[in-house]
Amino acid sequence: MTRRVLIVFAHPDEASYSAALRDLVLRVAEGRGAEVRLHDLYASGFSPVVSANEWTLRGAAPESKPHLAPYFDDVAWCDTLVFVYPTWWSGQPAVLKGWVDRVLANGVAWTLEESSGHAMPALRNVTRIVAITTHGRSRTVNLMCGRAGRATIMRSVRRLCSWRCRARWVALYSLDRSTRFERDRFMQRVERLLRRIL
Amino acid sequence: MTALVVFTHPKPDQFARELLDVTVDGLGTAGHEVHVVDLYRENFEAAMTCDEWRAYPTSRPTVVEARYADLVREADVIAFVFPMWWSGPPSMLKGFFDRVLAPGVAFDLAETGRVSPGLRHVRSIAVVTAAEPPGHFPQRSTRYLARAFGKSLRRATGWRTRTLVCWAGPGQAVMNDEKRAQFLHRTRERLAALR
Repeated sequence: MTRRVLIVFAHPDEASYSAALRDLVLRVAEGRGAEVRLHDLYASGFSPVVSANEWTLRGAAPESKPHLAPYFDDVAWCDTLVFVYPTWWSGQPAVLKGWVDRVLANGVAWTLEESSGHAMPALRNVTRIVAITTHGRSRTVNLMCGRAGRATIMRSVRRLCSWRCRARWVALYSLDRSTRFERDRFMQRVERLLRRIL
Repeated sequence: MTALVVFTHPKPDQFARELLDVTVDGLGTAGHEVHVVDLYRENFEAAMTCDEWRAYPTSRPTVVEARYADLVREADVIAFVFPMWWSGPPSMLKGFFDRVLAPGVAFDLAETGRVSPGLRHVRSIAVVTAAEPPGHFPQRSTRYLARAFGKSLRRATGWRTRTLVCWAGPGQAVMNDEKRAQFLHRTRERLAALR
C-alpha cells in the first residue's frame, strides 16, 4: 500500500538544517514510492494568525472557510503526518502553531458531539505521526523548561487521529553546539526511521 | 515597579475582557504600574521572517519590536492572559515569544554559544488562562499546560522566577456565573498579593 504523506514544514530559512531535514523526508518518501504533499508554511506565505472572523466561525462547517479549503483537503487525504520544525521557546514556531490552530478545525479534524459537548476525532485517516524537531539547547535544559510543545503534537493532534495512530517524536538536542558528525548522525537516524515506517 | 500584561484573544468575549480587567486591577492593587499589550488589537506580526532569523544570533529587535522589547526590559512582573488552544498558547502569543524575546532582550548569546539569562529583573510570571473542560478537547489539564508555559521562560529569568498560575478550574464552558465570579475574585486576590 502506498502511503500518503503530508509534510508540514516551518522554517524561515531555506539554508537551514530544518530545510535539509525536510529534503531528506521528501527524498526518502519519494524513494519509497509514497505519495507526498508538502505544506511549506513559510514559502506559501501561510498566515499564522486566527482572525476574529475565523474565531467566530470556529463552530461552523469547513465550507465557511473557503480560503483554507486546500489545507483541509490535504489533511483529510493523508495517512501519515510528518512535522519538521525547529523548537523555539519550548514549542512550535508561531507559523506552525497557527497551522494547528487554523487547519485542524471543526468538521475537519474534529466534530462536536451535541449531547456531551465533547470533541470527537475526525482525522481517522491518519495512522502515523512523525515529529522531527531540533532543539538549540541540551536535553536537560529542555526538561527543566518543560516540554510544552510536545503536548501539542503528541497529545492534542494525536488524539484527533485514528485510535491506532502511532506517534514518533524524533529530536536533536544541543543543535547550537553540535558538530557536523552529530548532525549527520541524526540525519541517518531520521532516514532509518522513515525507511522503516513509509 | 512595573508590570507587563500581554493579552491575546482574537475576539474578546465578556469573560476574556473580565480576565484582563481583573489582571490589570490586581496588579495595580499590588502597586505596579501596569502596561497592557493587546497583540490582536495592535496587529502584531507573529511570523519571524527569514532576515530576522539570519540576524538572530547578533540581533537587536527591529524598530517595530523595540517598543515591546523596552516594555519587557522594564517589567518586574510579566502576566500573560490568553486562551489555551491545542495544548499551547495561540500562535499570536507564540510569535511574541519568537520575535520579541530575542537575544539582547531575553538572553545574551556569547561568541562561544553560551547563553546567559537576560530577564533576571523579572520576579514573577503570571499565567492567566482558560480552556475547555478537560475531556471535551484532547489536551492535558489547563493547569499543567499553564505551568509548562510559564516554565519555558525560567531559563531566561535565571531559574529563580516563580510562576503564578491562575487557571479557570474545570473550564469556562461549564462554569456557571457564580463559579466564574469566584474565579475572577480569586485571580484578583492572588495577583494583588504579587509584590
